[in-house]
Amino acid sequence: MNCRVTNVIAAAMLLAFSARAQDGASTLAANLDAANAVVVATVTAVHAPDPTTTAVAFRVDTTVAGTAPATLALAEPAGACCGRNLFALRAGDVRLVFLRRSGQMWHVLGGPRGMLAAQPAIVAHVQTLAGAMTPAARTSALVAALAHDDARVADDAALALAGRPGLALDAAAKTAVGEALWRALDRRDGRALPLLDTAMRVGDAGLRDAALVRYLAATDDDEAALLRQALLRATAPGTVELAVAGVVDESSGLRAAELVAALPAERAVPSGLQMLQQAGSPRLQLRLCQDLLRRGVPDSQLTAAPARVVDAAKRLLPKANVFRVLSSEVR
Amino acid sequence: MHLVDHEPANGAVQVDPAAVIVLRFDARMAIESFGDADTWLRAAGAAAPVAGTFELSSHNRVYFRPQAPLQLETDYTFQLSALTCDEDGRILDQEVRFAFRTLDTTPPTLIGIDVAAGAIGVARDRAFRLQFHERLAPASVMATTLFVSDAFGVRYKANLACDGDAVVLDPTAELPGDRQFLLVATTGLRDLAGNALASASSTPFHTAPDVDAPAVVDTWPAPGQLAVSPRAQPHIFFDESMDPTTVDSTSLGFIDEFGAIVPFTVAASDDQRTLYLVPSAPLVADRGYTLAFALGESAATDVSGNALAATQPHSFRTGVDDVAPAVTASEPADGSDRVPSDVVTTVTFDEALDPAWLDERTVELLVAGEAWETLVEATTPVSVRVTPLVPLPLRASCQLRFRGGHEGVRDLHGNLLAADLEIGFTTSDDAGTPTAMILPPNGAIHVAVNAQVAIAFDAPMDPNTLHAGTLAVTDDDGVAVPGSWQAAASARGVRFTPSQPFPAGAWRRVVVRAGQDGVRRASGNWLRADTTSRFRIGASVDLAAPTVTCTVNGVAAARKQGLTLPPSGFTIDFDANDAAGGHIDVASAQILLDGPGTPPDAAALLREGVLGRDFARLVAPSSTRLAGGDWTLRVRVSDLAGNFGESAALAFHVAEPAAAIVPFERTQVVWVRAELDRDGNGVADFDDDMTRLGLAVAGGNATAIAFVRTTLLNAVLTQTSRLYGRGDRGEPRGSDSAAVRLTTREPIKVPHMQIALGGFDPDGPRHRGFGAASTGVLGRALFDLRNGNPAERNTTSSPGLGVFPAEMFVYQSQLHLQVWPSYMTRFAERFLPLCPAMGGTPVGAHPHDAAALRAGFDPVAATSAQRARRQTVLAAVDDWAAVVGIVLAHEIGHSVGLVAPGDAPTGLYGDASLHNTFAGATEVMSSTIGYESMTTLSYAFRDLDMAYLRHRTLLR
Repeated sequence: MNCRVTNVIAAAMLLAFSARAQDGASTLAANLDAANAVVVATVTAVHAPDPTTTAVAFRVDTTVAGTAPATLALAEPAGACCGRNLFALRAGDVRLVFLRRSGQMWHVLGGPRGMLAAQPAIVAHVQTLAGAMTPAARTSALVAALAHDDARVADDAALALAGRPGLALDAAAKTAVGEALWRALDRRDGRALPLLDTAMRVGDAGLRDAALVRYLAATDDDEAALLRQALLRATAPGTVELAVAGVVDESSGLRAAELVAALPAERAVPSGLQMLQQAGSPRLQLRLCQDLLRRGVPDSQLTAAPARVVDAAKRLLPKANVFRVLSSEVR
Repeated sequence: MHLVDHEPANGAVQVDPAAVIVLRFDARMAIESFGDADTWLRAAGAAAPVAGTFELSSHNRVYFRPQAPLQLETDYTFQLSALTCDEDGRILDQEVRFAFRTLDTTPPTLIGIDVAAGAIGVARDRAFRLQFHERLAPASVMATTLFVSDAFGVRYKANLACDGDAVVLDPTAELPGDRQFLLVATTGLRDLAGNALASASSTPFHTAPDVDAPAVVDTWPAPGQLAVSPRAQPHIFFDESMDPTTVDSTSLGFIDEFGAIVPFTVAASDDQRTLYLVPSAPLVADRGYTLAFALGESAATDVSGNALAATQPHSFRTGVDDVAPAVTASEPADGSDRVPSDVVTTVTFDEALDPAWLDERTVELLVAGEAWETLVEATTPVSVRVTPLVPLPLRASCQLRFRGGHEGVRDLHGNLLAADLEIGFTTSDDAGTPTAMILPPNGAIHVAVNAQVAIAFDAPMDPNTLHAGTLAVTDDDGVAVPGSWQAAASARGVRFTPSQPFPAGAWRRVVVRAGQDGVRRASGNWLRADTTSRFRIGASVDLAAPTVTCTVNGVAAARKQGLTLPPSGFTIDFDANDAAGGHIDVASAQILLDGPGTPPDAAALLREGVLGRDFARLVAPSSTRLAGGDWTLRVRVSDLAGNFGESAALAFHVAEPAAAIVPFERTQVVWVRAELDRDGNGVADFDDDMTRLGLAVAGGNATAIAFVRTTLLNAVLTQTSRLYGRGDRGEPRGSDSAAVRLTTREPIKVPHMQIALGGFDPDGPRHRGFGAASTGVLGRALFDLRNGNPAERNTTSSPGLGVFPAEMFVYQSQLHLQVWPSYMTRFAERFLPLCPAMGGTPVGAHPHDAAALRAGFDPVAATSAQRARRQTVLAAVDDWAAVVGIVLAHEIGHSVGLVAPGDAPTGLYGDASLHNTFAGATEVMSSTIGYESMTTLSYAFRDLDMAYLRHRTLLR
């Protein structure tokens, strides 16, 4: 159960949850949509009404969205705890706060991501989002925010776009998404992940093709894993066929083989056999044979590879580990 | 706290069954801690431990007294739990095992042979298995103690192999037919304790008749072959084992075209199916020779005495080449070090090799003396390519061996290598493959006439390999462009300055050469293939300087002034833009840091940074920490035309942490409580999670469910342990490991933290199911500055503390409902086949679960459906464990003092919510996470956080 605060300043009580918030659940856009009010408020007092409670009083300076009282009193269990917001506040701190109302009580929405320093750029962005009344306007605002100088704004825009139902982007928006995506990949920025999701969801063959080229040439395994996951979920058709056709050397062949290996069996087996026909590199042949054997393809069908390679694939099969955390010797 | 020594010693034999196990420590131990379930004494093959008691004694000794004498002649293993602790709560932190064998005065006995005494019709080509009542000492098993002999006492060569309590004797050649033999085991055979075989054994058997005449199946040289080496030693291949002593000048005529007899001796392969004729002197060049077997009484025979019944003479003619092939080149070269682990070796000879003798039997790659899986191919008549099928280990000593002698490599004329030919090399310590980015890039047009060429690499390069021999700028006809190469001080790039401006409208090419003679990383690794670029010169001159911006920690421009930073570990980020369309030479950037003390060398910063086409992200190294005080940062970058741009100065302050209190006076033990039932439904919250996910089902196959549960829980702890720099089972790995050890059992007498694992956030609504709203909170733990209290209890329901995987489940389920079927999330990809709410078949309900989800699963023997089911389940477990393990590491981090808010020296640059300021996407102590990134990317503690955990950064 939630901690119940005994000393309550009239009309406003807040219980801070959170900690380790899920980013997608608490983007600026998500918080705005779920909030009853969004305010810029200044801390006027911090005190402990009892040993188990921290209480903070706010003066609301600006109502960014919704309707909020002129003052707020928030409280949480005392003590420093992962994700609690109030224990570190001092009088004079200015915060952008997303609020949800439950009866007479106000709550911070989205944990530590629902209360943040009231940077002018972030406040301005939230105001822009609040003014985007239609889905198209919201999408447009999010796309524009992908290039924002502030990491929180850009990160959240990427997350929010990726999670938008019925996402539809025009050509300019797709270009903006692509530019943001390549920039994020170059910089090994985590923003790349939601941008990839968006790029693959919208069904744009150009974005998909560019991601595929990058994937086949990827030397960094983390980047390759990101791209592979996204490509497998691309709505533009023909991804696997293009990957197989795009093999130019052992490295790109191994990446294509990894992509094929992640497919369901009914697609992985014919694609793998096709690749085996074309594979010239013994290491690629080995990888393909292992994947096919793992799928139950009998070695009599692996005649495109040298017998030596097929034998080695069978010998090495039990030791091949395909997991990140699980050991190959799961006991 | 350490275990100093123990008795018996590891591997001891003849241990008194009444002996007591003695353990000597360097501290006085808490005797209760020896009651941990991971401390035991067991006989080999026994599931139950030996009953006994532990006692404290003087001088920090602990005795284990078995309740009853140990069994004689039995192997025992003693294991000491890593959670064994002293009276101060310091744990051993390493599992210790040692084995011994009790008194064994009983001689080994032969209890069975897989051929009956007096058996007749025994197959001539079979192996024999002798079963003893105990294991034999392998050193005692040799040709003089175990052999097959005939009635005349002649012994037959055999391979001997120990297999548990058995020994397998496999004659190398077929035994003669219809003959009496003895399988002899002498008293020279001994057990591990040294007891000799109780009595020698001679088992008679009679082989099956062999009435088939042998036949020649092939010869070398081939009939009619020309230009055979005068040093050739003809091979004759038979269809069964031959008696080499029956092949001599009376049974085989070896004459030249003039009828002169060629004297020869005979050698045989181990299986005696191949005989080699060794002429007493080299043959005469350019002469014909004939080999003809005699038939009849003087014919050569097989081992059974059956004479060769039919044969054809065959002839060949010698040539003049009597010189063995020699290596002219190899990659890697003999004696090379710093060879990439993904190397494909190529050896070139001075003449064509006989491809029939090029395979994995005659060409081997040995790694630390052991054969490596390879594919041997003759790529040209003179070149052999040996491809390791899996990458070689790092820092490994390797030999590429071409076998010499009769069964070895030879040229087309039959000249053998006199002896094995070896090419040795050592692999580097770098598993990566270098890449090169050429600017102007391939396809660029309108390149300024005053441009230069720059090449940036993804890792520091060996500057000795960056020169005109490995790099080239040419025109389209391959004519070199005059100019000079200059390597960047960072060793991350190289720049070409043409002697004359590029001619307008011309095309130019750049080549970065691959291979061992091309460019190489500082580690030695080389490119797999040449990297090239072709670009077109425009008509203009580029005189515009690029614009440069810089920041630290990726902080936005509006907030980057006046920051306080730690002495190391922060990032320096710069971007450059050339409005004239030129390209930036990032590898030659100048990082200008002004402040008290000596800044890190700019080249060193660039050396280890991430360099892009027009940006870089560098990390201030811990090896050259900035002194405390005020600093300014400027970045100066040029384009390819040599126009420099400089960023505005960025001022910041460095605060130095000071020595004070360490977070870990002893290893922090964390009891991960996956058995708690905080929602009171009678089922552990962790198990409720499994049911929701489809990793378990009520009434399902209990063995499969238990296997998955154990696998999942172990994998969660593995993920968390790895993040703390520990091994997969929580063991420390040296000074880089944080002093945090996880367990799923209650530690005995050890002060420890507890953290709940499983279920929903107790502070959230109850009774939520698939598609419900998440609180957004995946975990909550008490923050404890400098880990002042090692006994935190992150298990309460009010406030709700612990790790709440169910919140991730409902969040992902809600997301899935929003986007499915038009889109499949990573979570759905894994759990659609399993989660009942998503239409899947949960663990325990699938017909293949019993076979597929168990220990000891053999993928080779399993059906494809079983393999597929196992893969489906374990892939889901792998993802879920990766996610939950990161969250667990994060929450534990809070309770050991991460991330202390504020700047140094009192803080670790944590924000007001106790998370990293300006956190990167894959930092464990970031305030936000995403399922997709946790299942894809490599997470880690920020280096400052890790330095704190390792006691390398201390807080005041």
